[in-house]
Amino acid sequence: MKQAGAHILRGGAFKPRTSPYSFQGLGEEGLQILAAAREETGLPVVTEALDPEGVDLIERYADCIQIGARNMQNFSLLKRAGRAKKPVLLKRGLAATLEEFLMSAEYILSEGNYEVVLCERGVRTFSDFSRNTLDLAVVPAVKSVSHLPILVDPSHGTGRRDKVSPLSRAAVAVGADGLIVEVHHDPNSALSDGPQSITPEMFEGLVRDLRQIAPVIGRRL
Amino acid sequence: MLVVMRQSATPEEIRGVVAAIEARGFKAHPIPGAQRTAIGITGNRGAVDAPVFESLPGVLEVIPVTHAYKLVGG
Repeated sequence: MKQAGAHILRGGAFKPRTSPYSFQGLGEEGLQILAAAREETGLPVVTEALDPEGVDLIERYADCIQIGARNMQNFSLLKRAGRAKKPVLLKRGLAATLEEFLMSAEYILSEGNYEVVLCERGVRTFSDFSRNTLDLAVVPAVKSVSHLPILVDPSHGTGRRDKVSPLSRAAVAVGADGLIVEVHHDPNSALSDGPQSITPEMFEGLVRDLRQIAPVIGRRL
Repeated sequence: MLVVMRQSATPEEIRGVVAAIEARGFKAHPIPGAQRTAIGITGNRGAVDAPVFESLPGVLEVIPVTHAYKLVGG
């Protein structure tokens, strides 16, 4: 991933699965694996904290604390993340308005942690061909009122491997500050989110394309 | 924040709103219009409590001018 151009590694050690019977993540062992990956590659790691108590552990092992979409309005978690000494990656809620999204970020900043990165990951709409509707328009909307960087997650946003590349290209063109892309060496055997994961080869090809698009809007990958 | 008075608001009611604004240490800026009077509020450091003004006699609505978020808009 690093060779292909990735800058940060994201992995879920504590996973907020819809079903209690789905793979819940490896927990602290997962955090140790991420730390080992960082050791080997030099890539900083980001992983999700599910609750205020979990932030202690994530703060210890990871470089960045993710707050998932379903936790965007978990106010006690937001406040705890605001007291953390590591940056926070805040994902937009499943049906959050722009104001709700920014107010959740405001919670974190108001507790003293100014290092917040936003992430658009698709919102729920009536549209039924896609897991979520990726709201790319929120990128310029955020930039017009906030200085906070905003990333785009085209994997959760679309739910389908064949949509990841086109939406990634669009995300760069719309001015996103970065992308979070799910990659798996064998997506069909993935324990979670296989259908939306792309292979390392696809990722390489995607990065090559994105490197061509970024300069058009004066950015660089 | 902008306090918009009803068309039927009396001068006493308008003075009442101005007094309520000044009682909180803010500055009131009455803006008489052709149809109705609006009263701007300045001098507040944080958000002004809208419901307090909404319930005053003669008030039609209270419109926040700035966003509710302060820090993310840095």
